[in-house]
Amino acid sequence: MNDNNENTAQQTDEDEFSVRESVDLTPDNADFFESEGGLVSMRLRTEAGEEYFERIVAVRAFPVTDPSEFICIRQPDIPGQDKGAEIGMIRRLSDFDERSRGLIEGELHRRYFSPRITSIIKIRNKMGYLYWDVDTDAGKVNFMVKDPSSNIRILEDGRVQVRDVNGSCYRIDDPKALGRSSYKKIEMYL
Amino acid sequence: MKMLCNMPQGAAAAFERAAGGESLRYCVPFDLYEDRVADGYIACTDRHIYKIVADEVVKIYDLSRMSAFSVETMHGSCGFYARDGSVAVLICRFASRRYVSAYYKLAAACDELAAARRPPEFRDSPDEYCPKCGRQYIPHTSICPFCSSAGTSFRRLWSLAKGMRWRMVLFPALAAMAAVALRFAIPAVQKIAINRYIYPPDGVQRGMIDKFLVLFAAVLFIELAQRVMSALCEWVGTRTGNFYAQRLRDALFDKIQQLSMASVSKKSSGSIIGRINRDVRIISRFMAVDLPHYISQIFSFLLALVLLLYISPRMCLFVFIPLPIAAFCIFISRKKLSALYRRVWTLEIRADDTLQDAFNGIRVVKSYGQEDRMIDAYGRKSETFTAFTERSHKFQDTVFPLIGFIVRLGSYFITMFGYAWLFRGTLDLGTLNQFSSYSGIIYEPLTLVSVIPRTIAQFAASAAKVAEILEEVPEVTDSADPADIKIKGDVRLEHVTFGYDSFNPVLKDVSLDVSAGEMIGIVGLSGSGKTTLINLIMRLYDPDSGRVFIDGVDVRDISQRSLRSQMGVVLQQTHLFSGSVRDNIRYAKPDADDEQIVRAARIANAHDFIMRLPEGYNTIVGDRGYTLSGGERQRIAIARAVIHDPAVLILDEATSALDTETEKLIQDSISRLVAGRTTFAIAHRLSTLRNADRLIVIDRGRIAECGTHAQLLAARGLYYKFVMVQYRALIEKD
Ligand SMILES: Nc1ncnc2c1ncn2[C@@H]1O[C@H](COP(=O)(O)OP(=O)(O)O)[C@@H](O)[C@H]1O
Ligand SMILES: [Mg+2]
Repeated sequence: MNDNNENTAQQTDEDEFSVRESVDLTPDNADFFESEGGLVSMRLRTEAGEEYFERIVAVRAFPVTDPSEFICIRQPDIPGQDKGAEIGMIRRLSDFDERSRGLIEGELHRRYFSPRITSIIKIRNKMGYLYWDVDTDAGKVNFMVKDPSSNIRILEDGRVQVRDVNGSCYRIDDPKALGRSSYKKIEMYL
Repeated sequence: MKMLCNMPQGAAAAFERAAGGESLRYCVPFDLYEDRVADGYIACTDRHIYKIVADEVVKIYDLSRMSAFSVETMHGSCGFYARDGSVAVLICRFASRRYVSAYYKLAAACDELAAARRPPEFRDSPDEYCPKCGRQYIPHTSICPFCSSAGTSFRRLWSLAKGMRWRMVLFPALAAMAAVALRFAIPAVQKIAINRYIYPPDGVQRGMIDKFLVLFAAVLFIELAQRVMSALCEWVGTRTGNFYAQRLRDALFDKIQQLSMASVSKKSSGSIIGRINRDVRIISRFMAVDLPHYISQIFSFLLALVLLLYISPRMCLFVFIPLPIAAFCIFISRKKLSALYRRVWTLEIRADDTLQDAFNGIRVVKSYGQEDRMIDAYGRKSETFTAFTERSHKFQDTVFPLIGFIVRLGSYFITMFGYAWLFRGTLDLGTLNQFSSYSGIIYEPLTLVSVIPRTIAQFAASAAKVAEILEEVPEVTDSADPADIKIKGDVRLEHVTFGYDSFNPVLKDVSLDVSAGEMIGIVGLSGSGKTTLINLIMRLYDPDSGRVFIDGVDVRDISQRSLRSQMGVVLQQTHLFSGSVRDNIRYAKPDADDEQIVRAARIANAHDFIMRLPEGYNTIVGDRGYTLSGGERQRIAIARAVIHDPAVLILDEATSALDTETEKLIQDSISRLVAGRTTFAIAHRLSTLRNADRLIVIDRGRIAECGTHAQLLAARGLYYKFVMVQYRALIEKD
């Protein structure tokens, strides 16, 4: 009896330190739906019972190489309270029906905002800083890139990532497909 | 960023219509709406939050129902979230991180407003935008690369040349000008020789051979003088150039030492130091060699122009005909060339980075047998680099001779028409000779036109980078009248809040009172802010709000020198400077005598292993010297602290990296060191802290618990859990 008591006490102690067990999320155990606030809610069924999360956050494990697989579903960080813990991982997004996929993709889209550059109007090099004027699928933007050799990243598959001084990201899926005049403007920085 | 920015008229009107009489407290812009770039504002009154996009209020939130305001920085954009009742809502999104700090403040303020409390006062951070063009400054400086030209940074660097300007630029320029002027003298003398003595005009008697010899000697002398001037100019230029480079490097080093940890930790990687060196070289070369050269060439051009016009205006025509064509060619090729150079440069850096990476990680490369892959990776990069270098050379080698040819076309015309006129007798041979020599001189500076823009661009880029460092305002500065005090060791923190990025607090409202001689153990999960607390006590950073006192004096009023010279630190990773063990031990007190050094080493339990080193205390350690193990380094660090005899001692996981055996050894030396001085000890192994008078537990930036070991155990809080977990781990191991 006594033994037992101590055991449970220790069990709760440990809970404070151990992270929650992450589960594999499949259409069988997870339901996603739009929350009242326009974000994504989720209901999770495990052996222990059913859990409801008013808001979940989706994070890609391999945002660059594998954007639609290995998606982590986490609780949001609530300031002054807890760091959000991982609820589970979606192995393949394609396992889910269109509605859930749309919700999660929307959430991912919010998190990984990186306008696609559709044409380059002008790149001015002023004392080693590049001022870009570009057209993107999110509208016309201009931004400043410091230290171009490290902030213009070429990925293995030929895509290009540009990070400006404010931390915003822009991408070019295929520099050559931008057209000749645009390509000539960035060629020298690749 | 201002917390109450001015809305444009349309947005302000929309706010007025929606808000009625409510007064605007905060107004912060955002730039993303429905995945498009937008002009939006979050306007906050005491009761509501209004979201305004395109001059319309698109959403109103009722503050009294809201809670848990937060900012999430995501990839490429950020979101301002909150809870509306029990529902999570996304109030707005913004792509630019420059709004982040304003939103963090807004979140804090809204939390207070929502709870109907008085919101905190915020200081507006200084403007980070160029008043001229509205573009962003380089962070932490007031440089706008867009508006500042090469001239602006040149002036900055020129001010560094104080006292050597004459020698560095003016003298070489004058010498070069003199050399140029002398060059003009030779054809003039030749003209006299030809016209008077070789082909005198009819009716004039041929001159005497001795006078001819005088002229010959004059030419020789001028030639010699010219060479001497050129050599002198080169020599002085190089010498002062090196001198200037040294001064520039000193200034940079000085600045880097002054700069706060924050900005240095962002900069001090090996490759960046290499690049700074490269920049310094480019700058000093430009100032001392290129610039005088250009000045003299411009002078030479003007002088030749005047002389040519004076000698024969009609022939000047031929000189100038090819110029527009050449200028056009240069203009066209320049763009292509600079793009090529740029590309080569980018590729070189990429190849360099791979090399550096492989070099620094050689141990890992070897231990995983990945040499071939690294060779391959480098090979590919270096191949593209070589290919482009070749391409740029090919281009260069085609274009420059072509431009040269076009430019020299003028000389051919001169020769052709010159001889025609000569035969017609409207021109004499001496004049023709002089003219064609001068026209040769005038072309020389012209060929520079293709080089100058590139050198200036290169200089400008380097100058900007260097100026950026020189301009940076140190975040931690001595007050106007800093006090040198003898520290007893009372340490007090009052409501300290601090974050490395001002928008992301790491320590929150920390208060602590430590009296002299006390030993404080600090425990907490990693990342909870223990090291940060220490950094604030040492004043490596200033708190965002709240104050740190030592012996009742605000640390901001104590001179940094006197403060740090009375603090000793032993870190988890000890940096040994290249030098002997002896130098390393007496690093903080260079005048310590050998007896003190040995005594310190004994106290630190280091004497024994030092005596087993090949050259005892004179063994060279550090980057390229004898490699010591972690425990040995640690004991040297302790010896360093012993000899330093600080009033406040800081042990930041000093023994965490060591095995228990070694830790026991060091523990002894530490307890000797700790006696009688204020000590802050951070440790993961709680046994390390058993001598502590008091323990504090830091949890996510706040002091969660504080008390003696027994008190904390009795409280059964976080500390109790730590102890239990470690205790259980020990039991399980056995
Ligand atoms: N130089 C830095 N710049 C930005 N963030 C930092 C820096 N140093 C530490 N941090 C962050 O501050 C938090 C606390 O770090 P620290 O005080 O080093 O924790 P610890 O308790 O492990 O010593 C961590 O989240 C860490 O990521
Ligand atoms: Mg630490």
